Amino acid sequence: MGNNGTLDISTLESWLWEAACKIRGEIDAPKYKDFILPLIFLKRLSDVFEDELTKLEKDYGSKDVVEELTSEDHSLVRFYIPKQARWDSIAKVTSGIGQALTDAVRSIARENPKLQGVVEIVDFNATASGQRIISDDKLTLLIDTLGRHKLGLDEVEPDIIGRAYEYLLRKFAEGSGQSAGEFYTPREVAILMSHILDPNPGEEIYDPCCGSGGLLIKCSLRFREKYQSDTKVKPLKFFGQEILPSTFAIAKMNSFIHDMETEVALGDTMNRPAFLNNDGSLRKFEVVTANPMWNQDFAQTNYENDAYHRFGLGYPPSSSADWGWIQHMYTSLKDKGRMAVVLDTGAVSRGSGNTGKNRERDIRKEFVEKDYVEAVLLMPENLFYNTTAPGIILVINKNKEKSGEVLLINASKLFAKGRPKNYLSDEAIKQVADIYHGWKEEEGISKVINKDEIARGDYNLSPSRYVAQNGGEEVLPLEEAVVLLKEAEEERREADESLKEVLGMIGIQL
Amino acid sequence: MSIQAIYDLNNTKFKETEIGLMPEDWDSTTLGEVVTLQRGQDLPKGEREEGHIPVIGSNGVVGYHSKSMANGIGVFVGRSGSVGKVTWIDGEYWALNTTLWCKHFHGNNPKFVYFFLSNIDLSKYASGVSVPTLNRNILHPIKVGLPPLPEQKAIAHILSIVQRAKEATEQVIDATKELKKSLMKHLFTYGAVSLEEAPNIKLKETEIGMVPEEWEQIELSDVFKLSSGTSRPDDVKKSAIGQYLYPVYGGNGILGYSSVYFLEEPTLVLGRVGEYCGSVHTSSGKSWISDNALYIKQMLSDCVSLEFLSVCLELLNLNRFKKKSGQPLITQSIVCSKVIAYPHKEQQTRIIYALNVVEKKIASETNRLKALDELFKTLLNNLMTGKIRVQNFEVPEA
Repeated sequence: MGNNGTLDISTLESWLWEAACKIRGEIDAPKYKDFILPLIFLKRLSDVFEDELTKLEKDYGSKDVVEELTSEDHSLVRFYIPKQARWDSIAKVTSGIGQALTDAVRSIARENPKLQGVVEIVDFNATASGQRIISDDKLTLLIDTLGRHKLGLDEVEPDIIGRAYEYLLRKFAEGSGQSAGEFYTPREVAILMSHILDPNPGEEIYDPCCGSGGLLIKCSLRFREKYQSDTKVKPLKFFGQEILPSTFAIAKMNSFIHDMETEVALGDTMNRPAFLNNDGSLRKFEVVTANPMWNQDFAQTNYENDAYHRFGLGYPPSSSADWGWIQHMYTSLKDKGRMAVVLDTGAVSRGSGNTGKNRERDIRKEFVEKDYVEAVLLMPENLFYNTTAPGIILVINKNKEKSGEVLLINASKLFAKGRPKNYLSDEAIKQVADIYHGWKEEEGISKVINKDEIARGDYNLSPSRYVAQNGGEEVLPLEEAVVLLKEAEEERREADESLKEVLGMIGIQL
Repeated sequence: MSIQAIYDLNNTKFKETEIGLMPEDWDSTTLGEVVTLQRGQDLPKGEREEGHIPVIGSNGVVGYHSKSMANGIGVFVGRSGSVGKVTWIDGEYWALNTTLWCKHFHGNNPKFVYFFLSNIDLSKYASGVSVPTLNRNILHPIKVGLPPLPEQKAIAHILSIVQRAKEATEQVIDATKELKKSLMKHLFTYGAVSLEEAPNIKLKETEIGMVPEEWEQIELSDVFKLSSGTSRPDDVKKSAIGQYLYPVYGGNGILGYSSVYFLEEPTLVLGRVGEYCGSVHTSSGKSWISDNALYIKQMLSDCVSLEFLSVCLELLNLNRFKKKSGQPLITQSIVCSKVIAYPHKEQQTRIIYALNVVEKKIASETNRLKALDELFKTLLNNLMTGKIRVQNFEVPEA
């Protein structure tokens, strides 16, 4: 413990991780994240609320008076926690703790519309194949461990608990394998993106597949870093949409814990984008940021029947929705808006070099010819959570300073080795951000190219192609090679169908 | 693919012309009436400016320039160099003087003209002793049979679709070859494991890169004894016919077939001399190894299967260790000093199996491409001679 009973970050992190491992050890901890995170959130809510009551006591004199007043008028407090939902009541429960917890979170949701769809999504009493997913015994152990420290505002500042929450999410991601990518972008990638986007006062920031909300949160932190607590500065507004209910809940809790005002919507952005204007058109934002799942396969019908006119520059292939996401994000930009999106390396290279048509190359060509693309940044291998493949950050800016030019940054060697994943050091983040903002060319790291060069390379925007690193033949990551093949086979199927049709018309059977 | 073409001979009336039979409603005319060819313009390399307008030489696009000489659709015929090769460009271009470009199409369909020219063996009209060159004054008078415009459009449409199908299959072949490279890298870094398991595999650093911790390493001098081949027999034929059945291996695989052999058992052959030294080939039985190649005379260890060893040798890319003074070559000591890493036999089998599956796909797609190529050639010929008529064909609007 630090001074004044405040918790320092490493104590906080190891304590929370220890609690998480109480259920079934380190390996299985990620499976229980949907129970652990709400409990921590509940404790924080409860402790902060108790502190607020104590403060009000000083104004109103008596504890009972304050209890009665706040129970009648919730506007006196930031949020209201009913007595039986508070931590000290929960800690006293001897039997049926699962049910008690579920009742508690439901009562909190009832009393606080803002927290609806956030806290009460979890059912601590849930069973699977007749067995409790998390037993009362284990819940009691968890509650005991979490009871060790107070999580009030004096003990833990919002960004400290926010960091700890993100730390847990990262530990869960590290152990989750394939599913990690669904909810968590590596911390340094999110930080780098926040530096590149560099939010300005009053801007609205949107993430169409926000997962646990990491990208939005890092933008908020970057903003606070720039403007500290200057109250004259117009604050940012955050908007996110997430398809999985449990992840949606985490995004809302994560936002709340970081003291951010975020509007998070639940649903499928591709088919039913949540943020619309009164006339039903897509709402637009100054800044859009996202790390969608790479190479999703969506049927063509998703694009064909689009009521929001998002895919005018071309329908992506069924084997990869990457350029579908890019077009959705682009359509969500205001006239001078800018966006940064994390995708697989194939998104900027697939299809280039093919004679004849190729969907992704053709859409990419439109974006380049219309001069929307500002920069492409190549990330190192083994950075992201569900793959060893490197990724890229694509920056699109409707208010480009350098028209006709694209900045390519090859950051693939700027990594530090970690276990299980590599990471970007603070110096590396700063270096890349400086190169971007300064539009600099650095030997072996970055290069500025123009539209003619891009056209000659058949619209391949891969930084490794233009920024020489160490020669050697480039081999695609295995996942990328598979997507490439799927795409080639889809194009071929179409070509074959036309062939069959045309030959049939002149009487030839194949 | 088997083709049952229906010849329209019964419904089409043919007429006799100087160049043989052609459909009655076709025009018996000269090439110069179909298209006016013009020599391209000179553009020395030094004058070429940075741009994105393709510069067309006899073999197709040879560079880029900032100015165009014409816009729209270009059809080009190689004048010197790749004599008679026809190129199609949709958009702006600059044609060099090594090409003849189509200045006027005389109302004919340009895409049809492109296919039309491809069907004529223009190279036989080249004149000049030192550098055979095409001259438009020799080409224009060539007698040809020209279908009416609606049929031209139909022919162009059909052939474009076949060409597109060919291109699409080429793309599949290219993508599958990329997949094979990626798969090799994956298998030899993580072993025969799925993408999901790969991040959990503990790796170790070796002189040949990262491999799974549990793989062993061994120097090739402990794996096999190499030997150089012997000078090739006198009776080497290009293909395996009659008594000349036994493959003869040289610096880059099979160079021919002979009636004699000296090896009976399957073994691996490495190119020793020449540009492709270091290349790996498998001899599956009776064969002759020339002195431009090395072969495994004896295996000293059974830790690796022959197929697995073959892939390891491929991955080593022995060609980069060649001695460059004089003729490029690799020596036995160069090869035997190298180290390979290997898993236990069962995983070796799985690795080889996975690679073979991809190889099979490449082979079957390559066959498909050959068949599509044959289809294209047949259709081109039949459509351009009126053996298959498409005068009533509905061409969809572009």
